[in-house]
Amino acid sequence: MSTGLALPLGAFFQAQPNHKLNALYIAGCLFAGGLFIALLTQTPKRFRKPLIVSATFIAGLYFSLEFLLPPKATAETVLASHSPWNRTMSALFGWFLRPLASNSRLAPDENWLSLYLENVNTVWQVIGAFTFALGLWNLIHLHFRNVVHVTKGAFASSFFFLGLAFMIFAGYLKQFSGIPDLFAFATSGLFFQLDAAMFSLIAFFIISAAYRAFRIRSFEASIMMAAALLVMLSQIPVGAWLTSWLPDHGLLSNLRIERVGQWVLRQPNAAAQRGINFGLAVGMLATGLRIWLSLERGSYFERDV
Amino acid sequence: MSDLLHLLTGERAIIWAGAICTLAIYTFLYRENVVYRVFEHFYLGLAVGYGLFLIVSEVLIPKWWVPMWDQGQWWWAFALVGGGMFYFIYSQKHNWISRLAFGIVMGLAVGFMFQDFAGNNFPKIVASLKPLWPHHSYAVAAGTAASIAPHTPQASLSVSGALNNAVFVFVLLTVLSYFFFSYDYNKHKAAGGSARIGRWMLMFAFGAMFGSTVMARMSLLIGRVWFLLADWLRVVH
Repeated sequence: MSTGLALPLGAFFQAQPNHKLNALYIAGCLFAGGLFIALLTQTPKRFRKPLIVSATFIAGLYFSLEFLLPPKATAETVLASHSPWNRTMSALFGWFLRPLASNSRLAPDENWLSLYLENVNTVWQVIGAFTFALGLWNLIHLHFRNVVHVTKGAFASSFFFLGLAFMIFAGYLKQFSGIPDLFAFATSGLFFQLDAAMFSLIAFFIISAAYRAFRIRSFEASIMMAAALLVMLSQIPVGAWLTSWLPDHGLLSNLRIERVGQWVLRQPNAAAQRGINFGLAVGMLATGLRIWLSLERGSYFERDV
Repeated sequence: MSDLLHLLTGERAIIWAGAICTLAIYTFLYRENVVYRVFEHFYLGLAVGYGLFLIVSEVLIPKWWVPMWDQGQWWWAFALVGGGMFYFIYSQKHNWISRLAFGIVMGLAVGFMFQDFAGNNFPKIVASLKPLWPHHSYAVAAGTAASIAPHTPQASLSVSGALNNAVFVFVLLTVLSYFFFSYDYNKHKAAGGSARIGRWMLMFAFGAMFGSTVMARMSLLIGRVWFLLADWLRVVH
């Protein structure tokens, strides 16, 4: 944080080695933050939406510009080149490219905004971490109500608190008292075991799901069943046994079911997944643009502020 | 005290706890029951506690508290103010302040997504345009239309490799054509045919994905059963 912030803001954002002074500075920050929030609470209604829209746009601008602005290596290439196009670019954007090319702090694939990339990511992570209590509060509120009002699920809800308290206590002992035994028991003995059991339970229900999905009612369902059967057979010993009479080497070995299964996963399946991912990416890009420019509509986005 | 703690949290205790948890969850196979519900809620509590532990130990302590308190980087206190803004969601009067905080996080996420879109998908688009004709290895001369970088060495491509590439490109193009919703398939027969084949290819891929998912769940189940028989009961080795 210090290296990034120290660049333009100079001596102000210097680490404070004196512990008492540092505590005083922190109190000052909290006081300034409190003042800022107090100021926000006084914001007239008509300015609130523009403020949210601007903040969203500016926040999104950082990563966008960091990607779109040319890196140092491009600036150097353009300035050194004698092609008509690059000479025109140098003449038009020399004011931007020259300081970029001569900046010794930058790596070839970086521009000025890249210097803050790590800091912005860390700030984002830290602020995001503070939101964890939002979800935690919702769960606690729900189960606390169950327990206090002695509803039908009160007994089970009390075990939510037991699990939560046990893990927090075990984590506290590990983190702050250096006693890892209880945490190992809480994770390896309880949490990971319950996690694996819960997900393995799906194996039983996936059979009925498979029955519903694979009832051959159409050509598409038949294709789906054939592919699933092929992939499943290719991963079990019975499948390998079915085509074990085929040779291990040579052209015919490609027809062994384990190889066919691998080929299905690596070629047609990978290609179709890539097609789906391209479609998803374009959809996400469109939705992202709508959110960034505050064009998104819906209950949350259109609610009165 | 530490001996007792060590005994209670030793290897056999972990195995017994794991076995009890596994059997409690599997009681659901008979029907929904109180034992399952109790362990389900216990699991939820443990999961939330584990998430909280990870956030505190991996993010808040090393990336926020230690720089702010131990290393004198006092400006990190502003992060608490920024994080606190989210909690105005519970205020009737000043609820909009939380939307400001959410807006900033969403803006950052969208900007990051733009980078991710370009960083992830542009190389994949290039990689998807595979050569379809078998050839020996060669170097592409700089400045030619085929060169990506000066003198890019091109690996040789066998007949089977070319066939695989052809299958890959064919499936990719037909699947992509299925997502072109702006075509009137009644008027453009070729596009309609391509989209229909794309749908078949998608079903084929969904089948393969389903098969892989089934096998992954089965391996989890086998792992659990093996744990019960080998680690807990010690009847198989």
